[in-house]
Amino acid sequence: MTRLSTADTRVSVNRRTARWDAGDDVTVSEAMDFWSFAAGAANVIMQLSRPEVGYGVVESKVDTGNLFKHPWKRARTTFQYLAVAIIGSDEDRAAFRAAVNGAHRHVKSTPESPVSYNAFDRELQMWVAACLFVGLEDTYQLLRGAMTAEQAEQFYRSAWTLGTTLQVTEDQWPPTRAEFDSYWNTACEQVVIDETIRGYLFDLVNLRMINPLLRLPFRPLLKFLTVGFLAPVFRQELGVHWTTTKQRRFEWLFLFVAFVNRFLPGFVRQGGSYLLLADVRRRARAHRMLV
Amino acid sequence: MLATLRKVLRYQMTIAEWIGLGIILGVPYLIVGAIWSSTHTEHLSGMHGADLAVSYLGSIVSWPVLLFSNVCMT
Repeated sequence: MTRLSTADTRVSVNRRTARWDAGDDVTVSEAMDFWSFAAGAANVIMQLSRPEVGYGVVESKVDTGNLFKHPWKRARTTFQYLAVAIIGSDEDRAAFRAAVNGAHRHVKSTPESPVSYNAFDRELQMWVAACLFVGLEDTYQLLRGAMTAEQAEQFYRSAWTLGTTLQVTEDQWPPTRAEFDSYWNTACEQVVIDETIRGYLFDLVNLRMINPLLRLPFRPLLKFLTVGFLAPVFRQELGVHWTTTKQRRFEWLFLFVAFVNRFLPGFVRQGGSYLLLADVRRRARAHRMLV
Repeated sequence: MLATLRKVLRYQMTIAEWIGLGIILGVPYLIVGAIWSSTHTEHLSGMHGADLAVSYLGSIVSWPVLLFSNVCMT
């Protein structure tokens, strides 16, 4: 296996919006503008392209969390996880961890599974958390401009709760942003998408789980955004193509979106995440199911 | 309750965000005003030129007041 470099494992962007706050401190919570969810499907693909995660999801017997059986519920709980991990309190995280653990307990491979997996595997969870971090870093820089090395370090350090909200420990995260790159490049060597997983992922991108009236207008855009947010190694494994023309359109689209985004008040950009977090708290108080 | 109020009152927005908020609230307001003014034109019948234009534009901006009282703008 050839060694992968950042050119293979991360999306490259030639034209980014300028930074408006050159030297200010940053945290990952600023990456929660709703446009970031444009990269959501791409992130699911990245996570599931590690076979142990892919089969863990595809073979899961936890029907209440099944994307194709309860798509809106799955969307809610997924975005609530992000809201809890990033803007939640330690108390919120403990409650959500307990709920997710309850579902994860049923996710382990059987003798018939093509790969052996367990949802409590900390290394697999680290991979998923790393995917989430990569997605947030990509979208954040498309919306707010490139970070300085120092800002990138702050942003990275503040994102660790993406993993530590579940079983990932702090010492599993590579200590610096530069070391994360080498972790990520090595981890991407394990990316394999077989026919089963590819079928599942294409069903997702084709929005097979939602009403055709909603599906048809959004499908071409979602496909474009999803392939745009995938690094070359994932595009190749998935078998999708990307061109320089599409890349140019993708970059122009985000230059425009970034411009519009500057004029949206914070409560418009991020209000959704705060509402989802409020819903988690309401459910926790009422002792209702969180996931 | 008081804590929430304080939080709301000390919320900070950039100038760009204020401009954006103005557009988000202003555009629907002016669209409603334009529709209302175009469907309530009786008072314009006797006017001409600048009076007509100012009165029409004035009613687009001040439609909520005109819902309740017939303010004369000449």
